[in-house]
Amino acid sequence: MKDELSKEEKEFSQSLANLRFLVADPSSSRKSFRALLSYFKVKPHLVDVVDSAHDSTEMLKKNKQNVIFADYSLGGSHCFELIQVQQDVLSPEEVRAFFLITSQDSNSLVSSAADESVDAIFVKPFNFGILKQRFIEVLAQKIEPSPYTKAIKQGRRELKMEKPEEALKSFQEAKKLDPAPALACSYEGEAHQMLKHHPEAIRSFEEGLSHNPTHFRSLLGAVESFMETGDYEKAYEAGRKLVDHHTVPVKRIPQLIRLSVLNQKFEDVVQFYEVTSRLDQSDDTLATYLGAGLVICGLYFLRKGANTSALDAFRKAEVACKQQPRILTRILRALITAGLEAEMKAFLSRIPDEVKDSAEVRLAQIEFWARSGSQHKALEYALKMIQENIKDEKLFEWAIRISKELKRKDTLIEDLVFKAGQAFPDKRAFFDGMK
Amino acid sequence: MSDKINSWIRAKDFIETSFRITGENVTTKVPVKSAEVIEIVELHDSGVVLKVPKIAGALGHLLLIHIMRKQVPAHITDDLEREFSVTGKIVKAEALDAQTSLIELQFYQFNEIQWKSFVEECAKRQDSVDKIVRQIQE
Repeated sequence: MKDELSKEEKEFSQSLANLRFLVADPSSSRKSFRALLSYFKVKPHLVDVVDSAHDSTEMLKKNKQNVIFADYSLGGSHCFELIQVQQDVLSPEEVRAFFLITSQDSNSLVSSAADESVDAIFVKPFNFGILKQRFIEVLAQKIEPSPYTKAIKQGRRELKMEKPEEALKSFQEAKKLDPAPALACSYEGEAHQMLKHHPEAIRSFEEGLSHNPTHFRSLLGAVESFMETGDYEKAYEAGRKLVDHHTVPVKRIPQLIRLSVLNQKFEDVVQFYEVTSRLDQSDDTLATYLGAGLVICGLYFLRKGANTSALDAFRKAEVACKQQPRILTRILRALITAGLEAEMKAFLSRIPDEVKDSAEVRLAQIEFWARSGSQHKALEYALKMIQENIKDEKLFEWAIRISKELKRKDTLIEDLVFKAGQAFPDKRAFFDGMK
Repeated sequence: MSDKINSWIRAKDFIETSFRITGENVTTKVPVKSAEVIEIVELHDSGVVLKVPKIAGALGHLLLIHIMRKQVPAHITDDLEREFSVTGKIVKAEALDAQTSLIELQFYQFNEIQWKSFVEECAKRQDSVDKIVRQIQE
C-alpha cells in the first residue's frame, strides 16, 4: 500500500478532519477500515470500533458518528436500524454516510440495502484501491454536494418532517438544476403522495420516466399511486416494467403480489411460488403474503369450479406460509365452504397440533360438521369448547343455532344465550334475538 | 422452467458468490482445521488478508490456500477456472477473537494470471453491486 497521498487525496483528507467514524464489525473487516481511515490521516480518537450490534447502537447514540462502516454479520435488520438511529442523532446539516460491508453479493440483498439508504456496499473480499476510490466518491459528494443534490436533500428533510408543501418547492427547485432530473421528479411525486394528491404524483412520476424510462423510484411511485387511484391495470404495467429492469427489494414484493391478486393474474402468484420454493432463503413477510396470495388464488379457482387448481393452490399456500395459523385456518374454511370433506380431513391430518387445537380451526370444524349434517357432533364439540372457557362470538352463535336445530330444551338454549351475553355484553341483544 | 415468466422475482437475483477455502500449513505439514472459518477479506497484488482459525499458523509459517468457487452469480463470467491454489508466508497476524486470527499472506508461490483474474472477478462483483445501488438511489 502506497502511503503518500496525492494532492486530491490530501484535500479530501482535510475535509474529513471534523468527522467522526464508527466501525461496527464483529467479523473480519475492521482492520481494513481502520487502515483506510489511517491512510486518510483520520485521527485515531475520532474512530470508534465496536464488535456487537448492541455496542454499535450505544456508541452511535453517544458519539454521533457521521460515517459508519457496518458489517452485515451484525444482522441485516440491525444495520438498517443503525441508519435510522444515525439519521435521528445527527442534525440535518451534518454529513452522514453509511457503508455496508458484506460477503453476500446477491442482487436481492444489494437492492434491499440500497432501498434502505445505504450509501455504498463493500463486498468482501475487497481490494484496497477500489475501497479507497468508492469511499472518496461517496463521501466527497456528501461533504460537497452539487446544488441539485443539495436541493433534493433539503426536500427529503422536509418530507421527513412531514412538510410536503415545503418539500415540493425544494424538489421543483431541484428540477431546474439538472438536465435530466428523474430523481427530483420522483421525490416531487412522493411529496404529492404525502398530500394524497395522487393524479399530480402520477404526473411527476411520468415526468421522471420521461427523463429515464426505467427510473426505479419513479416506477415504484407510479405503482403506488396507480394503486391508490384504483387503476390496478396501470399499476400492474408499471410493476412489470420495474421488475423487468430492476431487482426489486424484498420488502416491496408483497405490494406486487397484491397487485397480481387485484388484477386476477393468479398465474403470477403461482409462478412466484415456483421461484421462491427453489430458493435457499426466504423472508417471513414474503411467506405471509405469498401464502395469502395463493389462498386467494385457490378461492378464485373454487369459485370458477376448478377444484383441482384450487387444491393445488391451497397445497402451495400451506407450504409457502410456513404453518401460519391464520392462513391455514383460511384454507380450512375454504375447504369447508366448498364441501371438500376428504380434502379437509387430509388437510387436518397434516397441520401441526398447535394449529389444529387453535380456537379458529376447531370452530371451522364445528362449522363443517354443522353444514354437513353432523349436528350432534358439532354441538358436542361446541359445548366442550365453551366449557373450556373459550370465548368466541361465532362459537356461541353456532352452539345456539345448532341447539335450536336439534330442538334442545328451551332452558338449555336460554342458558347458552345467557353465557353468550355475559361473555359479550355489547352483543347481548343479538344473542337474545337468536332464542 | 424459466423464472422470467410472470414472476415478480428471479431466482438468479438470490444467488450469491460463495467460495470453499481449505488450507494446509506447509511448515508444520498440518491441514487447517475448521476450514469453514477461513474467509478472504482483502486482496493485494501478490498477497491476501485472511480470517483463519487461530491454530492455522504462526508468523513466518508457509500456508497453502486452496480456493474453490462454489457458486458464481450470472453477472460474473463463467469461463473462470473453478479452483486454484496459492502459497504464502504469514507476514502479519492479529487475533480477532478467542478462536480466529486475521493474517496477511505474502505470496511465495502463485500463478499470477490466475490471481489477477480472481482479483478482477472480485472487482467486477463490486462494480455490479455499485451499479445496482446507483440504479435504486439515483
